[in-house]
Amino acid sequence: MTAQPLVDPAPHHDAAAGRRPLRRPRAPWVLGAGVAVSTFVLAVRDPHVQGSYGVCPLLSLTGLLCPACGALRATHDLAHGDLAGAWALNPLWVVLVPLLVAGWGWWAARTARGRSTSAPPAWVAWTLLTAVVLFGVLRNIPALAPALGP
Amino acid sequence: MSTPDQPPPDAPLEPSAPLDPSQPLSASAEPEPREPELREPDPGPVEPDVPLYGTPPPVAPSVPRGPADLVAPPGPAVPAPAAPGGIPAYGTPPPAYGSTPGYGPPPAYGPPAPAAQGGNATWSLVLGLLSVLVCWCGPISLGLGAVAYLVGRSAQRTAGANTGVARAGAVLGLVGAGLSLLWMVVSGRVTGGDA
Repeated sequence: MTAQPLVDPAPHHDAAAGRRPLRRPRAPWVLGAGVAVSTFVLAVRDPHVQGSYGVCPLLSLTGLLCPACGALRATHDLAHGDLAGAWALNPLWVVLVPLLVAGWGWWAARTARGRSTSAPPAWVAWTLLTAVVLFGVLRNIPALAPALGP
Repeated sequence: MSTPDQPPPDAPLEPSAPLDPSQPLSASAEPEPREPELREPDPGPVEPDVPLYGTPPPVAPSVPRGPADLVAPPGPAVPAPAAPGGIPAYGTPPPAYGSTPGYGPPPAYGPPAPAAQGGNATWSLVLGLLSVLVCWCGPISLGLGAVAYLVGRSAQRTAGANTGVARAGAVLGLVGAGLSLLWMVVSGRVTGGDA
């Protein structure tokens, strides 16, 4: 009698959890493939060429640098092993890339083993947002632009 | 079910047998006579508790044997306190499960789960904000927006809480991706004309 109510919730729990494993195992590889293809395109088609990937409306209209400015060129440089060139274009991106790659590797490895994964704690997200916004502000300060801007 | 009665519990059950005669058939089902005996010998009570409370978990069948008693105590230790109020004890766990999707009890039972789901919703929101923030940079914003949207949608489905945050993240992701696409199309035409 009493055991049955306990038995029921367990299957539900497993079923609910069982849905994700069917979906999630692909997620790291889909994302990884997308990023790999994008990086390959950036490595082959040089973003240093003016207008090769369009024109940034913010930069061309206002002259302001957004936090991502230089990231495509930095990615191209990183793909070609030019760390100094990438750093000069967008140091924040150069710092983030290894963290993102490591996080992706951890995520993919755990998913491949069938283990559950959860997003990094929320404070990491807020820290990231703060860092990006701060970086975007600082690199628009003339005194700091040479160090932080492309 | 039947197996738990057969194993070691025989010893504790036999003393209970004299008690049973005092009570008719219902005595076998009622835990009351067992409880006092079960508590006095800690290892003994474990098995009877396990079949009743722990049958669902896979551990129970393998554990019941003698050597397992040493390992078993931690598990039964929890049900044991609940045993005195056998009915309330069983009643409580179901609410925990059932309520998890719902409202109140989740904090008690699911501190880890809410945290993770909340984290997903928060990540969706932050990624969506970032995608809008850097929407000028088409490809990066497009990727950020797509991830923010997917994370937000999955958080909306799984999380009972933070649905609003997850939805906001998904919407922001769409907005960021849409703006980046718009800029890419516009700038593509501009540069196409220039080139």
